[in-house]
Amino acid sequence: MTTTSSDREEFRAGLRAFLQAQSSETDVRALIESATGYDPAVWEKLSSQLGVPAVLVPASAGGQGLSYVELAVALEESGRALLTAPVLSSSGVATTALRLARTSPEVQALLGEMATGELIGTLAIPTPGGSLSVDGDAVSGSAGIVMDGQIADRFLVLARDCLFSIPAENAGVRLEPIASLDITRRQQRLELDGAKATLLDRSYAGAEQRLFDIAAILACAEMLGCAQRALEIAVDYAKVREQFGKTIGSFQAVKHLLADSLAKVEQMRGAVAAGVTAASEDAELGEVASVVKAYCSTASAEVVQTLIQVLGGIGYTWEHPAHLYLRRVRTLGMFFGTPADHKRRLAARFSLTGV
Amino acid sequence: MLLDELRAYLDETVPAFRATWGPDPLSWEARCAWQRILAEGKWAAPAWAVENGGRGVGVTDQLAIETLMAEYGMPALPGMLGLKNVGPTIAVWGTSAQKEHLARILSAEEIWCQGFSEPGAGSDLAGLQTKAVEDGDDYVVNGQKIWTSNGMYATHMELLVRTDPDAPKHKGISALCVDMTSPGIEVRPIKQINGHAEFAEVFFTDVRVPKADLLGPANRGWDVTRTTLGNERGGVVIFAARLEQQIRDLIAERAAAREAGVVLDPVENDRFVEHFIQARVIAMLGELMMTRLVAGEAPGAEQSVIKMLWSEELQRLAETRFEYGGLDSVLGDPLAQEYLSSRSATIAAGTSQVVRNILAERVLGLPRD
Repeated sequence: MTTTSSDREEFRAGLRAFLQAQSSETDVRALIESATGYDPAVWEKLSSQLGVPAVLVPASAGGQGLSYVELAVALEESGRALLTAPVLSSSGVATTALRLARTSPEVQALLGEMATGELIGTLAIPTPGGSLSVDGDAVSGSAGIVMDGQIADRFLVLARDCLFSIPAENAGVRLEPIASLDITRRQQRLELDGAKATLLDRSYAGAEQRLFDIAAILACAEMLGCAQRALEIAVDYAKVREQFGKTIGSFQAVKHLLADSLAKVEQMRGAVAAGVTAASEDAELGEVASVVKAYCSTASAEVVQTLIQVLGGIGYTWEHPAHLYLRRVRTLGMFFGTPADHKRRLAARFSLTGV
Repeated sequence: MLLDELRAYLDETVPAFRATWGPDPLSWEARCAWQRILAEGKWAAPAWAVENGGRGVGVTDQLAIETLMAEYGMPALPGMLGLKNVGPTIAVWGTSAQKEHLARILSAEEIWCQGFSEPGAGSDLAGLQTKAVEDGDDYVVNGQKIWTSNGMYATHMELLVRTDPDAPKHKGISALCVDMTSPGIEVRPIKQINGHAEFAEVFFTDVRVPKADLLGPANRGWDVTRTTLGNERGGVVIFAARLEQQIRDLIAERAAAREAGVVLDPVENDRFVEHFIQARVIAMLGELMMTRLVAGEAPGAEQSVIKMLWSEELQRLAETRFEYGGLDSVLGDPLAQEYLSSRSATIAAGTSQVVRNILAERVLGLPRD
């Protein structure tokens, strides 16, 4: 199924209105301090009223059968609102991991439960030095970093070219909290000790790179939403703040900083559009994903840094939300490949390095 | 089908042309001959309306046509300003007599230039001072234009003049179609930092221009200009695509060198990868702009943003190549020329600083200085 541009704008408008009411700055700050960091009532409404977790789930499994193009809209709005709900981790990355797996009743069942929002899944992102051993159906070792691990019902784990699904409540599953830079979305280390796992796909090696390429692009959609909002906050401030008898937005130095931010946000928009289109068309993703992720990671950081710069002193306070945007984009910038990782990958792709 | 027809036409005409003029014909005569050949096949200005000698193609087809033409490596058309800017302006604003220029613009029988900038009016074009005073059936023009592309070769000029010095500056400007052989016109080439003279200064001393050659209504010249300057939306997308391709080609050369045993500098590698990322992203923004244009959406800031980004990336690339050329760059290598030429990219067609001001004020709504 495909959507038109005006379908997507309608979806965006509905989401934006919903999140303005349900994920305001006050809500986000309260959730940062709360036990689970997320509001199940908001997640329930995102699922039942707006169908966000169902976007990527194929119709055959009870979802909307849409593509990364549509999910990107939801991710942008999530970034804009600093939503603490698991849109990226569950509706995006984990759902993608399942979509890329060999079809089976287990996979379809998981997708179906994720589509309704009743099941939250999250992928364990392997870290260098971590390794897993598999003994029958028991998995042990350091599975990697999970986003939203504290609220996940299922962990998707990559081990030995296989994709496994592990219920969070199983014995041998331990989450070690991380004091992450992004306080609006929690991450943990997933440690397994003989945890019983369901094997979903025994030859996942080919899908794994594609999964990380798509995850990188989806992260950029969220970063785009953050950057767009950061630009708006900066412009709004520049229009009202007065110094030397004038609004600071009339100073060319400030105007030029914001014009540069606009150019970066526009480029991010073009990059994300190219990325989700390529991902949705089953095109080869290596080059696109690396270009998009390298660019958006750097550009989004610069746009939010410029926000802080234009805000002046108040931009440096905990009280102003600017640092929340900074934390989110800098953290996402490091996941699924840093700019340096992607540049190395491109260099190797172009045969500038390697054997 | 359109592209098949074009390919067939080019396959038929290009070899014959090369046989006549040589493999790499850059002379003015050769370029005019090539434009005539394209005009005969109705390929000189495919975006023009059919009744004006074009094919009425839309923006996506236009881009595809230009991309295909670029593959054949033929020389740039000498009448480009007429084809892209002046012709479309005459098509919108011209009288039926003025529209007779269109066929001659297509065939390169007429070569048009644009007399816009003046020594005192560059970024602030609306401040132009070249005066046109009514005298019987003519305007009498006095003043000076500068940075006139094609000025030395042009047969005609689309000239912006001040016809009402008392009106607010944007509202006292008119556009005239001027025959460059008129008495009182003197053309002098401007030598640039790279040694070439691609532009001219044009001096007007009591030049008589018939009132019948007024293009559009009197004192509405600024609106007439908007047609000209706003015309080529797809153009920036082509520049962006070409820049991306240039960088791909440079990277492929480096890879080939490595294959041949050259040890590549990792820092230089990183620079080229950065260039690739930047050029590719600019091209992606161009693709997004095209998608919006094709969907009939009103164009936003993309065109100015792309022009600004493209010009700055072009300069950075020339800088990288010049820098890594080392001593050779300054001892006679053509990289020096590329570097010198690149300095105009952020000045011509809107300086980067003015573009930023415009983006900040018109797109972001920030107050004027």
